[in-house]
Amino acid sequence: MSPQLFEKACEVFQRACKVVPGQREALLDEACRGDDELRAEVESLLNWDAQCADSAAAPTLTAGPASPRAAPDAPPPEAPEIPDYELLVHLGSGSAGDVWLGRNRIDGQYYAIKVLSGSPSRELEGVREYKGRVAEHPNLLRIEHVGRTGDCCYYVMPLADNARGTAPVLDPRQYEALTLALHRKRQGPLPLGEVLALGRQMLSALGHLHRQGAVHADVKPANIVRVRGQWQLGDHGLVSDPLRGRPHGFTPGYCPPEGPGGPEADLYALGVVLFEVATGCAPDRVAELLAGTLEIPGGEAGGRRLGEVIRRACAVKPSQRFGRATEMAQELDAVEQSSPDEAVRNGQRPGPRSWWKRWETWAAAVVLLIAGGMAIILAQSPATGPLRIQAMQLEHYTGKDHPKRVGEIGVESTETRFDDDAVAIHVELSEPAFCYVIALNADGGLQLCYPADEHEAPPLGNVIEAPVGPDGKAMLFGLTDGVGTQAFVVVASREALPPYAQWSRELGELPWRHCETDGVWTSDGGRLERVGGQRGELRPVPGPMPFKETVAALRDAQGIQSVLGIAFPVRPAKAPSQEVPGDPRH
Amino acid sequence: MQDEQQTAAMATEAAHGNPEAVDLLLPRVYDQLRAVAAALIRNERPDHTLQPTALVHEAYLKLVGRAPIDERGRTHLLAIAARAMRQILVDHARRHNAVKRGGGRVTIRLDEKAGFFQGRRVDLSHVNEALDRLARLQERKSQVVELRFFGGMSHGQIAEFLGVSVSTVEQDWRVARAWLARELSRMESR
Repeated sequence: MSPQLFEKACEVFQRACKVVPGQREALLDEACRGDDELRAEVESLLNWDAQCADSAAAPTLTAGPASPRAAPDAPPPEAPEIPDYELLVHLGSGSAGDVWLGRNRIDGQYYAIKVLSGSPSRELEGVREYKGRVAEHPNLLRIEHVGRTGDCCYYVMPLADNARGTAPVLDPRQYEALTLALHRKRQGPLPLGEVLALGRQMLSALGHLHRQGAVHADVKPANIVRVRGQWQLGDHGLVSDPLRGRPHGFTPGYCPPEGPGGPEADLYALGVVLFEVATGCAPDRVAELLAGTLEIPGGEAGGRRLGEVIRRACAVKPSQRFGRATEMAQELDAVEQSSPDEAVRNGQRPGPRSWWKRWETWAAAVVLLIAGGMAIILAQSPATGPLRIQAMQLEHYTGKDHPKRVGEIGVESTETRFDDDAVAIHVELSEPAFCYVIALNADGGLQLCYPADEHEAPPLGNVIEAPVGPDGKAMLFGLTDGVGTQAFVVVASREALPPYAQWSRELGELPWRHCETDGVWTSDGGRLERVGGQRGELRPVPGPMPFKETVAALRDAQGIQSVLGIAFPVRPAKAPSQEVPGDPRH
Repeated sequence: MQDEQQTAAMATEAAHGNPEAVDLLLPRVYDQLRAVAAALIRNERPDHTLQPTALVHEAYLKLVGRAPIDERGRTHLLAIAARAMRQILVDHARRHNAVKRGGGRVTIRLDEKAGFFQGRRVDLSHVNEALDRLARLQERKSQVVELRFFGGMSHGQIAEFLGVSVSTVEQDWRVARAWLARELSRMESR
């Protein structure tokens, strides 16, 4: 083919790309007009362009540390033998090796496993540095285990949430890791409230790393993954001690002009990340923000002030940047404080399934109806101060021997069956804090679901799965305590709480008793709201008043800063012969 | 350190459009990069899939060290390093194939963020041949691919280096991607 013909083909190709496929035929008829060679070339390029586009639209899969999944037709590498793990699906190939979705043969749980290839000393050095220095943090992806087998090294990490749903991984082939890069791609520019929350979480993680004398050196959206509803910074392969020399790699676009270096370089990269998620623009356009030709959406009070924070984080001269993560976090706090309404308004954009996690409001419990589905979510009351229960989710399961997920109570499910059904509780707090999860059983009894032992003080955490067994593993709560109203209440505090046995003794008797109700109800102790009406609808009668009174009593307990409860009906089991106990539980 | 500073100064000069600086810089970068890359490649397993962007970034760091260099200079130097890296890898593949008497194959992993070439292992000689042919059809499109594949550069950086708009780079990339996907597929099935 001659350069002239190729040039002409490129021109027609570009015009064809701008019209919808249905109009292409007419365009090619007109543009090629009897030149068969030209038409064949353009059609061939369009055909391959469609294949490339399909691949681009396919999920960019990552597990733990982000690494792109190989193109669908690229041959996956052979799965190496890793002790105690079965490697199930090749998720992607990263800068230092391949990432696999694997199952532990002993505990049956799924993990992300990175198998290092070639000479992995550099990556291992980072992992070793990380494991040796850095204590656990809720916003840093944990490294469960590092090992060597044969001639390869590997390390094991928790599996990121499945971007294709909140259900546990049932079919590994359907797994898609939820990275910030994927989240941003799906959602477009994120609301101001979500950007600020993300910024605070990442600054908390970076501050923790920096205080322990390490830098991350590869902060970018593909390396930020959501694990159990929490954004975590992963891929610790470049973690290093800046005093011992410069990090051994970087990602263009997230690296400051002078190259990778100390903590201020991590904060520069985070500034670029916040710019990217707030605007939806490519990272290299941060230069336009610095030049003042581009603004952050969110208005004068919110967007403009966030822009100022990013400008300082990404200043060309290192001396003008933030020196410490806490400094930058204070500035982000000031953005939120200066515009709480705006952040809130931007933070509540509905989206499928995850919309409720963004709902932050000064209002008390709210009941929303969106897009044909109902969900319960909560927020804070003025009395609870800055600690918020950002989300409380009850997952309904049925079947005693092989429990199957029915759906989220209040969203896909409005009632449960005695003895046949079970519930899993998922709670997210706005910051690491201490909490109990208490079951108000249908028979009038109370039971601690979290922590596992009522004689032990609850640990610090901000994502809680309840109930937990003695080994700390999340379990299902069987609804075997009578028919009537069943409820679960989260009680949270920023101050350390004593063991529940001691705390409940001091609290005295609660007004909880057996009661009947229809529908799903939420309460923060102040209001009692029914899920399922129109937005803002308030139908307090005939709500389960003992539920509201109990939540109010827990809210008023000393040292408690945030409380939230969800109540729902437990109906008799389907089997007609089955007798149901109505008396208080033994 | 003196070498690093001289290199950085030249890169800044080159970035500001001084053609003499480019002429002086290219062999200097090439020689230094070749030494660094050769050491890196030596440490790899012989059958390992090479990753040009990882190599070029590491080599770049060793080359520039802590010398001060502005954004334009950095983009320029990275672009030059990307071009040099392609040649170094091709030389490496030739030696490798000679040693293996034609039986070996050097594969590289295309470090794309997403899309068709994402994580794909391809025969280096195929990529090299395809890029040469694309350059004969339209050189700029070949350069765009080269800077992406061998330098891991963003469209913004490529646009700055080539002195064109970002939308021109995006258009070039889209057609070059389709063309290259087809050609590599043909060569793989040969």
